[in-house]
Amino acid sequence: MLFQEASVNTFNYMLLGFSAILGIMALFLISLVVRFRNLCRDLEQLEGNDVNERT
Amino acid sequence: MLDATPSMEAIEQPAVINRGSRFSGYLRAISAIVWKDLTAELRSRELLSAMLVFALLVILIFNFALELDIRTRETVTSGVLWVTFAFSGTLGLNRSMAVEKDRGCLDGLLLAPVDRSALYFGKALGNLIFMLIVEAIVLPVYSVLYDVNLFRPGLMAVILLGSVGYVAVGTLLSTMAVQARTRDVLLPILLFPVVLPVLVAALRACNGFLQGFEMVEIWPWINLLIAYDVIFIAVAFMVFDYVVEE
Amino acid sequence: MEPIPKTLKALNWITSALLVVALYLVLFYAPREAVMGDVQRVFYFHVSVGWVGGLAFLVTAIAGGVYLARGDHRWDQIALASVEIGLFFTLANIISGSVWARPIWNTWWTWDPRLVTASVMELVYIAYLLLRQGVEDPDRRARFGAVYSIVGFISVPITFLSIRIFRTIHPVVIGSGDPAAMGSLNMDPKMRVAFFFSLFTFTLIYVTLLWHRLRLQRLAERVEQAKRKVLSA
Repeated sequence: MLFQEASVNTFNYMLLGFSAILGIMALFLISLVVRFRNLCRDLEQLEGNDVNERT
Repeated sequence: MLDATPSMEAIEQPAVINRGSRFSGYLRAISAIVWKDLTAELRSRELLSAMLVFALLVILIFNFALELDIRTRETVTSGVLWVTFAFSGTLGLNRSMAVEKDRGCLDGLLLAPVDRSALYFGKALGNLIFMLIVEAIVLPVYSVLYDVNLFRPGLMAVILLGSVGYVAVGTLLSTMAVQARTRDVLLPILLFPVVLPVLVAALRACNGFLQGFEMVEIWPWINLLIAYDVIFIAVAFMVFDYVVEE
Repeated sequence: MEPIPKTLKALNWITSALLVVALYLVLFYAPREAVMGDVQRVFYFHVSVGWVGGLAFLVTAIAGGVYLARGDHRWDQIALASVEIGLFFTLANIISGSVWARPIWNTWWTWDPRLVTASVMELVYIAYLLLRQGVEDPDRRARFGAVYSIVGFISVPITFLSIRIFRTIHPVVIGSGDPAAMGSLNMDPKMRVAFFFSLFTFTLIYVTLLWHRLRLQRLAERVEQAKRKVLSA
């Protein structure tokens, strides 16, 4: 990949760099959301069981 | 959690509870641990033989992995040596602590009425001695195999400093690793990222001595090694209690 | 599940808004750098993300220390939450550093002290998590984590120093520029604004994410408790 003028060709790299940073942050957020949902669901199930056993 | 007070000494010598006797009790504890490890090893020789065979095998592999011809030999020697020491050192650290845990010696040592850090210094000193013994054998073997004179005082001083740093951190981390499920695999993973400065500094300093660099180029590395050793011995001393609590 | 506190909700909005502003500043407001071109803009976020990684690690070490001193397991929760954030952000730092290096020095990797130290720090974080995974007893797990995070944190600047010395004694010439200049740009005022605003924004992002992750941790522990209750019933 030849580059003649730095100021023209580095645009793609800039996009790559930003997508990497924002993408990784988004991944973390998504993992948080997914884990929250799973845990909430687990908690509901478990506390539902608890109530069922008492009744 | 066990309370480390010298109560037993108090019962035996009620009038002699002063700084002096407590400190000499401390030293006696350390030397007792070192002596125990040395004599056990003398009888079974399993630790040293394992470390030694492993070290020699690593050097053998390097012989085929790298083109150790006369010219490249000089530049590559310190790297080969330190990789060898680092890996066989891990073996030694693992075994040393595993033996304590498996035979239940750890609990016995913890019951002793002496500061926990004596256990750390005792084990660390033992580990250091074993590592130095292996190095003392590897150096002449390497010298003969590759016709390189490794017996320069500067080089040996660096190997000593590096081993001290390696063992200081390694003993602390192996105490933790041995109590985990993933025992053997865990120690290198924990140790190598943290001990990297030691390896870099020792490597570059050894290389400097081998290639006859000016001392002014080597001093920064030696200073780094000394600083690392001091810092991490202090840190290990301070946190060791938390690592052996029951 | 406990409802999201008002402050956190506000933080969510504020942080998102700040990020948008930061993106504008970095992509449009800051002038294009003469030598490196557009890819230099990555630098603003690259440094901020690296800063968050280091901050997260520092928080973990301090929280670990406080846990050892006081035994209050909430400090351990903070330590664990911070490590995850640090792991992701340091990874972002390493990758963005690599992407930045490629067009400038024509290589995907430079043995620059900062890049190498970030990688070593990442390895320490990963080792931290592996250590915790391997220990059954929760109290011991927390204690070991604390000890290792302290040892690791102290070793990182020493690692940086050792590689810095390595580079000054054995400078490695990659391409035309001096790799040690990575990050030491002469910044004009607009660049400075973008730079410091990014730093501030990402610090706030760290705090917000830490809070969220902490809540997740507390929820996870509630679930664990509920599981044990159901199993023992």
